[in-house]
This record gives sequence, C-alpha cells and structure tokens, in this order.
Amino acid sequence: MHRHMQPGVPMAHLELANLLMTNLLHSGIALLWLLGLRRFAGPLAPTLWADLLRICLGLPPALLLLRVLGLPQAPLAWRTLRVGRWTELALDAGPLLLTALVALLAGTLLLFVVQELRPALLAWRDGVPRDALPDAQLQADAESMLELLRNHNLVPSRGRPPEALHLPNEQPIAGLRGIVRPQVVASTGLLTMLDREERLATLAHELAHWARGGNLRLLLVWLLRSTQAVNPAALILFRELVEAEELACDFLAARVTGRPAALASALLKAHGQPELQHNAGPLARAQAEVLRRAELSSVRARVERLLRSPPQRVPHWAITGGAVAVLVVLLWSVG
Amino acid sequence: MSAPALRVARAAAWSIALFGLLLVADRWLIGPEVIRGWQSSARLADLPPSVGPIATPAYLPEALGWPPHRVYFRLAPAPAWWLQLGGADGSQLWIGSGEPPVELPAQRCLGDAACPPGWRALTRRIQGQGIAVVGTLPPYELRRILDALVMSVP
Repeated sequence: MHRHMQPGVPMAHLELANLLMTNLLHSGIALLWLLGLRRFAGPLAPTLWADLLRICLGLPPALLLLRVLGLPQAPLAWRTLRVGRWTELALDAGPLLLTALVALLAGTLLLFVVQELRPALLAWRDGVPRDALPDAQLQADAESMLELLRNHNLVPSRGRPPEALHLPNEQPIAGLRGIVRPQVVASTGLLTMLDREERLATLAHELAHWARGGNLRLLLVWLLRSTQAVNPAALILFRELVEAEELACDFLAARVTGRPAALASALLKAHGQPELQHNAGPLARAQAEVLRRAELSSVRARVERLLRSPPQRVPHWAITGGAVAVLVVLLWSVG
Repeated sequence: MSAPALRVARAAAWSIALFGLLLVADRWLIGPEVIRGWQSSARLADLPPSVGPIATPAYLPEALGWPPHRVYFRLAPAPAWWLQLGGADGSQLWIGSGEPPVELPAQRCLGDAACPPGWRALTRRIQGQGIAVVGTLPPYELRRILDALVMSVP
C-alpha cells in the first residue's frame, strides 16, 4: 500500500525534500545520459563534451527555479519518474538507508566546503597579484594567436580581448585572470623553459579559455555548482567539467596553431617540474608531492589526447542545441 | 548511413532507451499512479473496485429516486465514497463512507459540529466499515434506510 502523507513530516519539510529529490534525480539522470552518450555515440569533440557537461550542471537548478516559479509539469502519465513518490520511498526506506543517504549528502557537502569553497574564499581574500608587467613580445604573440582564433570564428563578437602580461615569478605559471579586464599572464619561469612554438601554443590555450567565456562563465558555473553543494552528481559533473575545459582549450589551441605536439611539449615541460618548497615542512612537501603526481596524471591524459586523438572539427551549434533539447525533455519528464 | 548520421542515430536511440528505462524502473518500483483527490461521476458503475465495498439501500422512501444523481469517490490518501440522492420534493440524502467531499452540504455534522437546520446524520459500522447516512429526511426514514443497507463490491 502506498502512503501519500508522511506522518510527522511537516508539509514545508516535505516540499523541501521534494525539491532536493528533484535536483538529485535531475543531475543523476543528466550525468547518466551524458555518460551513455559518450559510450554509445563514440568520443565527442572536447568542446562539445565540455559544453554538455556545463549544461548538465546548469540545467537542473534552472529547471528547479522555473518549477518554483510555476513552470507546468509534464502530465502525470508521461512522467518517467514521479519525484513525490520517490521522496516518499526515500523517507519510508527505514533508518539504515535514510542514514546512508544523509551521510552521502553530508559527505558531498563536506567535500564541497573543503575542496572547493575554502580554496575559492582564500583566493578571493588574497586577490590577484599586481606584480605582472607589460611585455611587448608577449603581447604581439598573444595578438597573433588571437587573430588565429578570430580566423576560425572562435572569438566572441563582444568582450574586451585580454592583455598579455609577464609575471616575474620563477614558477612555471600561465593563466587567464580577471573578469572585467581579462589578462593572460605567463611567468618568467615558464617563458624561459619554452621555445617559441610552445609559447605560442600556451598563449593560444589561455586565449581559448577567454574565447569560451573566460572567468565570468567560470564564476557562473561555480555559482550553479554551489547551489547544488550536497548533490553527488553535481560534484562529479563539476570536476569532470574542470578537466573537460582544459581539454577543450587544448583542442582549440591545437586546432588554430596546427601544432598539437608543441602544446603537448609545453605541458610536459611546465608540469614536469617539481614545485619549489623552500621553507616547507615534511608534511607540506608530502602534500605538494601528492598534488604534483595527481596533476601529472591529468597532464599525461591531456598530452595523450593531443598526440593520439584523430583530428576533429568544432561541432556545429545545432548539435549542441539538439542535445540540449533532448536533455530538457528528459528532465522535464521527471517531476 | 554516414558515420555522423550513425552517431546521431545512436545518440537518439540511447536517449529513448534511457527514457524507457526510467519509466519502467519507476513503474516497477513504485507501481501505477493512484488517482488522488475526489472524482465524481453520474454512474454508479464508474466506482472502481479498489474503493472497497459500498453500501446500497434496499429501502428508500418513494420520493427519492435510484440510482444516485452523483457518485463521488477517491482512492488516496484514504479510500472514500459518497452517493448523492435527491427527491422531487427537494429532499436530499447522502450515503457514504470515509471523509465526505466538500460537495456534501452537511459535511460538518459528521464531525464535532452540529448539523445545519433540517439536516440529520446517522452512522453505523457495517462489515467493519463506518457508514453514514446524511439527509433532510425525517429521523425514522434515515434509520430505516440505514437498517436496510446492503454492502457490495462495485
């Protein structure tokens, strides 16, 4: 026999549980759909994969908001999953399963706080270092790479192009920073270890980040992620997206420069160097080594992708649009 | 079929398969959807068997006609059914079990409140089910109707 009211559970709490269950199911289904898509439709172009990950991360909270604002739900007979009943099932599941579910959500929240929120807050507190210097050669190289991106129709029509600055630092650093006034920075340590082709490929990679929305889009994605801090599927999607964005920018840089090996070589040079730990204790050095090994594993995957992947085209926007339409219908049917 | 078209076809097939998979998992784990809220019909035959046994009157005053004018039922959260009968002289009779629908004018007299003027209610447990007759008929007529109720599954 089905129960339709939860004795002892106030209506407002039940509504909240329903909203949470909707988000958990939406994200889980989006992740499952995406993994199946990659499995059955073959490897997707890196830019498409990153775009779909971003959509899968952003669509569930957007649909939830629309639902709260009164978006009509799918007719009952057409709903693939009836969220209210799944919430009842979860609440009826008994203390053991309920505790496991709460532990899973709490663990996900803890990971978000420790590994994502805290570093973001620390970075925000520390602010952007102001010691980067103008560099005419770097700026000229960046402009030539920007021109290549423009020739491939990859540069947004609006938005201020980034300035290229030289960072006087011995660590091998390259990155895109700033939202309103974007800057591509490259450190002395990096510039001295790279040859010209590698330097151009690195600049093309960082400019590709800007062309794909830059830090403003990254901030929006992070905010969407933070609204789903307890959602394990959102955690997986976000982390996969961080990697996928790097692969997408590698792909674009290799495509516009026509030299994937130069970027692969730059990656190996930049990430193969152990970080300098002058005054660090043994624990800090051990932590740095673990992080460095994890980073090396990620870099190895990127290098393999650059060197071994067959040439791919940037997918037509209609492919992404069609995939989004399918995902919207799939998620709308869950209610 | 070209390679890109084949990939699109595979993607579509996977999306449809996932849609079906979710649907089957939901219906298998949770079962069919139970109709919530009150339903009404003009025909007694529309009462679903899952509403449980209903009481039909073996006796009715001449002024009241049979079958009922209207039948109300619901399955969730708890099954309930009510039959609405009316007479040419304006008399009204409701026979039912469970929480009454809002359409029953004297529903409050089944609770703690008093019936409105001219209305009366009698209740009895028949075959383990609480049955009520509510109407504007004289008390002895209500009693006769209640005494002559017959339980049957719709």
